[in-house]
Amino acid sequence: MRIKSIIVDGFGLFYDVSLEDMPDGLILFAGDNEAGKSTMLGFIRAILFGFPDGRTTENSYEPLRGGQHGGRLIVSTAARGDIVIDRKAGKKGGPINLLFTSDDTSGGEAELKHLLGGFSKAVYKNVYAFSLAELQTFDSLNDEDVRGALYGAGAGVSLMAIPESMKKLDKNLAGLFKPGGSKPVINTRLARLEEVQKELRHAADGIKEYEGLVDQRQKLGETISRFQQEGEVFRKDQTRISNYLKLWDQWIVLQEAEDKLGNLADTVSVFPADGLSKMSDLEKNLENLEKSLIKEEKNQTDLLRQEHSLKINGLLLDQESKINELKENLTIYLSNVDEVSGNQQNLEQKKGEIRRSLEILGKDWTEEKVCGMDRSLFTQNSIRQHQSALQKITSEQEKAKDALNQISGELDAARREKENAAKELNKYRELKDQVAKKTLQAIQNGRDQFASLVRDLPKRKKELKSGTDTLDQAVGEIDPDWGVPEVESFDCSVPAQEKIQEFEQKQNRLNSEINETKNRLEIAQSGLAGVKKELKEHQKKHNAIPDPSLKNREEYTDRKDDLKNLKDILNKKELIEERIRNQNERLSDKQALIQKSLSVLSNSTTGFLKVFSIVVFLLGVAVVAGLVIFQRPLEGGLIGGALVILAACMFIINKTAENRLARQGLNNQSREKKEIRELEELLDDLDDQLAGMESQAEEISGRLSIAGDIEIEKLYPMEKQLEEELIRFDEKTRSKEELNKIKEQETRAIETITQLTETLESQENARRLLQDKWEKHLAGLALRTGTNPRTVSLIFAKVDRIKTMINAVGDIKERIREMEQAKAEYLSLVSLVPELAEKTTDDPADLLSAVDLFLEQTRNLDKQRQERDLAVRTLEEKKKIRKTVEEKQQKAKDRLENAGTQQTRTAEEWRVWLSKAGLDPEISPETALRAMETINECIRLVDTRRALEQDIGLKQNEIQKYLDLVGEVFSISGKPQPDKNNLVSEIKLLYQEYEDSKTGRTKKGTIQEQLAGLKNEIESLKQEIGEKRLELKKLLQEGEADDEEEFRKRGELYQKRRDILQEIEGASRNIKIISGERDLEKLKQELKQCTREELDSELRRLQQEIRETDKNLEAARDELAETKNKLENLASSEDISRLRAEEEKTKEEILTDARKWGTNAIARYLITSARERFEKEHQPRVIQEAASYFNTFTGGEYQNIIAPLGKQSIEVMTRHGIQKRPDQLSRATAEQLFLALRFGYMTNQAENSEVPPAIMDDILVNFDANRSGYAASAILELAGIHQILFFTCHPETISVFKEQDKNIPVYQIKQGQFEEI
Amino acid sequence: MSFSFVHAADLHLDSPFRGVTAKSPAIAGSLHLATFEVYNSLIDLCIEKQVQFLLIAGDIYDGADRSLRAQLRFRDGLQRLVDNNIQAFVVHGNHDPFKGHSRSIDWPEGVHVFSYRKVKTIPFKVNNSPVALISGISHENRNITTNLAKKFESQDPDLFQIGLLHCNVGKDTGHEAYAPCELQDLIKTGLDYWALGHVHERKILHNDPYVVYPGNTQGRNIREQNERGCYLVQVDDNNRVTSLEFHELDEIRWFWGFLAIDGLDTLDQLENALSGCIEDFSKKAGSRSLICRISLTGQGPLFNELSRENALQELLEHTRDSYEAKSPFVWVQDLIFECRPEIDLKKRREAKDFLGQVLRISQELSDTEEGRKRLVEEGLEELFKNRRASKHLQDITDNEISRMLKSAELLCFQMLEGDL
Repeated sequence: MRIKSIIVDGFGLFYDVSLEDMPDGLILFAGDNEAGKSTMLGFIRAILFGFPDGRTTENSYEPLRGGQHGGRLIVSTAARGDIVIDRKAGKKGGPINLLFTSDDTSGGEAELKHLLGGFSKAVYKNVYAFSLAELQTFDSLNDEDVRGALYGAGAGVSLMAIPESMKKLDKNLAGLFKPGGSKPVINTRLARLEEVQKELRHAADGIKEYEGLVDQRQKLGETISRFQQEGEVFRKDQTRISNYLKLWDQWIVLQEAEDKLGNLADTVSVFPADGLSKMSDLEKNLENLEKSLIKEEKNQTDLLRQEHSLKINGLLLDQESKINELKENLTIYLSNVDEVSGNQQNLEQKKGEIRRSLEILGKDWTEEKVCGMDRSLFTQNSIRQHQSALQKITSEQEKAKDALNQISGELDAARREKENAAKELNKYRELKDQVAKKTLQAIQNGRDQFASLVRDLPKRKKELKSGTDTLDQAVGEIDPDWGVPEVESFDCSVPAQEKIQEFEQKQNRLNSEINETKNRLEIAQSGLAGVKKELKEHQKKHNAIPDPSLKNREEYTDRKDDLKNLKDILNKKELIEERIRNQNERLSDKQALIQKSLSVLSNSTTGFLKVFSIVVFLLGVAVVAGLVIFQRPLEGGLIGGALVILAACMFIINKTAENRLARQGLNNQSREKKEIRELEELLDDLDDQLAGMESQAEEISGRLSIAGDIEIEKLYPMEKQLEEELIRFDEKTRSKEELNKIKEQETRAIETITQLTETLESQENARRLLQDKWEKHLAGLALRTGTNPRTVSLIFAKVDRIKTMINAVGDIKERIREMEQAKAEYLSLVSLVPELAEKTTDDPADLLSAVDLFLEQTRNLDKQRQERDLAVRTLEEKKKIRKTVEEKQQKAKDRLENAGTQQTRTAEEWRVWLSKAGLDPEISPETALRAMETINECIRLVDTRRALEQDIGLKQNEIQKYLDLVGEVFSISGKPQPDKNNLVSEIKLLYQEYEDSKTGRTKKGTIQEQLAGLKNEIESLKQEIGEKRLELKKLLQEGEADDEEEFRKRGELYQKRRDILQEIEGASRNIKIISGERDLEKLKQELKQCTREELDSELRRLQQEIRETDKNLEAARDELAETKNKLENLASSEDISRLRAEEEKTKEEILTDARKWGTNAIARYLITSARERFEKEHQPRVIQEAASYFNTFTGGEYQNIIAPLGKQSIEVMTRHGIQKRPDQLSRATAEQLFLALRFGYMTNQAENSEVPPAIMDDILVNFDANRSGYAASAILELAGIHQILFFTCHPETISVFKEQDKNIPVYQIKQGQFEEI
Repeated sequence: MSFSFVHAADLHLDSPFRGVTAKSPAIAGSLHLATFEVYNSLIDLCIEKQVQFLLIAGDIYDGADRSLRAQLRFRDGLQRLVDNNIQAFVVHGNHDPFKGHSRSIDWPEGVHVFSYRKVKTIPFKVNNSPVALISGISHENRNITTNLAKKFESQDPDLFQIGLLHCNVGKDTGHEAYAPCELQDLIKTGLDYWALGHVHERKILHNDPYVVYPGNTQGRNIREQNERGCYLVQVDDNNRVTSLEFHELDEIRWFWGFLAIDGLDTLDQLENALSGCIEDFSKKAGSRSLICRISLTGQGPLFNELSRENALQELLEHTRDSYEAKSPFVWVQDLIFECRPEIDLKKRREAKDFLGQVLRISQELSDTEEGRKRLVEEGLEELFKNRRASKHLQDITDNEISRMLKSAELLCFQMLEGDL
């Protein structure tokens, strides 16, 4: 396939450009840098394989000059003629359109891919269309990379893809799993899984623990129940004994009562119930009744006597109401007499007071005038209003006067101050004017500066001198040939210093790295020696340990399990055998029993009877025969017949018994047989089990290679031997692991030493290179060769310092110049003042004194002027104040005048009011008010006097009425009229008499009533006494006594017996209640058996027992609770579930990781296998072709390329037969090698399918003239089978090609345009 | 007389879920309790339906190292049954052989556990007269390879006879061949109902007599999808099975879905599609929690994005985050990448370059058994033949190795050509 035309719409620099009718073979494109050569390479790649998308860093060459991003290639193919490939930039490489011109059909990506024969973009980029950059990718490749690159190039994938893929896969795999590793993910998970499984095995033991605890729980339950029962028994006994002790006192009482009962001599069995108390009551009643009778009779006599002694005045009793009135009004009468007397005194006093009040008011004043006076509140108010108005106006007058006085004072002061101010101003009338204020200010401001200038200028000049000297000396110290300009031009910038530091750091780093490498090398070498020694020693030790017979640990575990199982089986087997023996014995017993029952059946009493009946029968026959023989047939017949009958009877009895026994035997037999069957079944079962065990035992013993009979005793030594074997096994394994570790250490140490030696070599090289660069840099700095970076750093510091000095000297110079200028300016300023102008030429010190004097004078004048200004301002102010005060004085005068006028008017109004009121017009309002008060008092006294006179009249009337009543009563009563002076006592006596008569009358009635009652009472008492006496007599009869004494004796005896019986009954009842025992007699018998002391001691013993039982019970209960708790915990334990969940989770994670690992491992396997196969299939041709090109490129210097199968590198061979690795070649030769490999591949590939045109971008730049020529010839040769577009910016490259073939077409690329040369 | 019973098997109490790496305490807690919850539901069902007895055909626990908790919970459940006058007949299977039972845990009265010594027949009586005969035998240990079915025989054809056995009927059950037997072995015994356990997928192998696997009560790994539960069996007066009704009991359901990336241009679209897929599962699971796996298949523009390192893991975590707080929970166990690149692999394989060579070798390895064997022996030996690791990698099947090979191809593509 070849490109016929290139048509660019827009691509980088190219805009609407085309290159048509391109020939086959080689085409050269010349162009300067940036002319667009690489852009054109990019364009062809983009059209054929798509535009780069955003994900890569590849340049997409956006159009810079316009046009749509894209274009067309017209290619010519053998199979389908000319094809237009049109592509625009866009997603997924951009839309593509193919036009097959031969048949006018179109196509897309698929057709293009087919056209390109399956080449990928990567292959095209790396093998067919490459620039110097791709060619130089090999620069730093190691052997493995070269190999990858070689086959990568050959295999049509990115150069680095295979080695990088392998690295990545290895990394992924190592991160997931390493045999023997611990950190990779799968290793970690496996370790965790094993841990979890171990924990699971342990957790499963929970069941055994649970079972143990269940047993324990049951035992504890039983223990608790036992303790409870014991406790109950003890408690019952304790209760019983406690009861005995509680009832002990009652028991004593009972015993004593019973004794007392027995001791009683007489017995009174009949006696009225409560006889004694009844008799006592009757006697008491009789006594009381008789006493009452005597008392009542005495009362009767007394009352009769009282009745006779009573006195009663009937006349007085008839005037009851009047006497009462007299008594009641006596007090009123007496008080009226007193009041009349008191009021008359008071009346006189009031009359005197009225007289005195009228005298106070004046001669004209009488009671009537006073009473006619208007004393209303309005009058008083009116007086007060006048009083207030008069007071107010007087006060106003006072205030106005005061104000006027004060203002007059102020006015005097203001006038005085104004006079003083005018006088003060007068003082400054002679002051003169000053110099221009601005000039004066400038002179004053500049004075100090001028003074310091005059002082500092010489100092500065001296400083300048010494600075210049020091500078010259410092510059000379750096280099005698150096001057200030050299220093100034010396680059002291941070980058320049950093560069030196960089050199220094690099040197230091390299030195320390080299030292470190040397140290490490030394350590590694001594380490290796140590390891080798250790290895030797350990190998010896390892060999000394005898080899174990076990292959692995599992074998041991299996054998141990086998042994354990076998032991179990043997034990169980023994048990089963024992059971079989027992069952067999039972079986034999049963069988024997059946046998026996059969024989018994035949040998029983029935057998005996049978024999006996036969004997009797025979005897009968013999007797008959004998007696017949001795001729006594009758006796013989009788006896013989009897014997025969007896024998027959016996036979019949025997037969019946035989039948019964047979039936019984059969029943027994069938039961026994059933049991035998069951036993046989059981035995079969046991035999089965035994057989099973035997076969298991045989199997295990076979595995364990136990010869002969399997006996448990044989197993113990085996177990021991196995343990010993295991110890040996572990020891050997450990030792081997140790040995391997040491060997690994040795390998690692050797690797380390090799690495370190290589590292040291490369570090030394680096140090040499760095030194060369440093020397060059020193020359650039105009420093001498051999100067070290530290010195240069010092020079930097020095130069830096000198530069500062130069700056400082410059600063001083500048400062002096400025000072001189300031001095001149000040002098010209001073010369403006006439008295100073002439002094400017003098010594500056004199000038300064003159200036100071001038300034001092100026300052004084200025002060006086300020004072004058102040005096003017004060005078103005004082004038203003005086004017204000005068105005105020006028106002005060007006106010005083107004007050006077108003006062006159108010006084007149008062006088008018007084006249109208009938008062003296000359009195003051205060006097008027006082007169009003006196009038009021006088009126109040007149009122009081009138009231007194009225009261006296009333009281005298009442007195007279009372005296009239007294006269009437006394006369009716027939008593003489009382004397007025004894009136009160007489009335009281009369009243007393009346009261006595009244009381006597009442008493007499009462006594008569009492006497009637007493009479009845006496009669009733007498009757009751009779009844009681009868009753007593009857009681005595009942008690079979003649008199009370006898009755009492009999009663006491009867009562004593009853008391004892009650005591016995009470004690018995109490005992029953306390003991709860119904059978008292039994209890009494028991109590009789023991003493109080015995009971106490027994009680103590029981209490102790109970305490101990309770304690034990509590302990057992605690233990039970704890056991239950443990059981609950175990029952609810989720350990196993949790662990199994974790086990499953970890297993799943391992599976997931294993899948990941598997994918990576398979990918690695695929790439490795593909590479091996690819090498095998492709290598010879590719290498062969490549070797031929390499020979051409190097002008025969290198004749062959060798890539031995199975080896990791390629090598090249010089014409002298020397073999070299690519990294031993120069850069150019290496480039030629890799170019040759590409050409080899292209040539090889061209034979297989239609291939795309090759594009090379200035790849010959590193080739020397000869080799460029050779390469050009090789390229021309390749151009015979490929179209090749060759880009270059070197005219000599064009020439090289032109030398080979003058007709090679050459196009110039310039600013995105083509031009044929 | 008529009666009913429930037939369940393979409870695998207190067994962990396989392949679930969820760290969330809520999910982990639900997973821990799931088998117990399901067992409770089974007991509730028996009580609610007032059946006469419950049959459990082995594998009550998951392993010989059964937890005490599981044993006690099992006992408590049976106690509940007995309290409701329901009897229980139990055999042990290969996962929980007879000998592993703790002697300290007593069975409630009315629970019959068959021993391993010989087939025992226990009558189920109503009013003291037998109605059905239940025969059964437990596994003595984990590795019973004898045909236990042959030990069964008919005792009384007038009664309804049930055989209770944990066994592997036929050859291709996908389960270990413990207590192997053939269907004919069971049929010819003359029993009326074979209550079997061991195979986790429910199956009715035969109708007259009934030979039934109820499957396990809770799916525990991605291969155990669909509903799980037990059978409720009704028997009439004439000893005929009148109904066999399946009841779902599982608490957590497993789903494996496939999602083609064809036509999906952006990750957002993919996320939406994943959500749709998970929503479908949620609908099917109803009120249950669910665990799912989604295989991404097909060809599409997202291929490159998804083949990026860690891309799938990031997508998975993102998807999990979206469902993290959901209750009942949704746990996306994994996303399987089975997409193909948008290139013509066949043509690429034919190319004579290096990658072509890689693809050809890959095909050689995947096409023949010998090739796959060679791959394991040469390519995967380091890990897959490692003593410590290999025993945990038994679950990696040939299919998975083929999948790894495909992934490895893609990895080679990416590394050698940069993109696809």
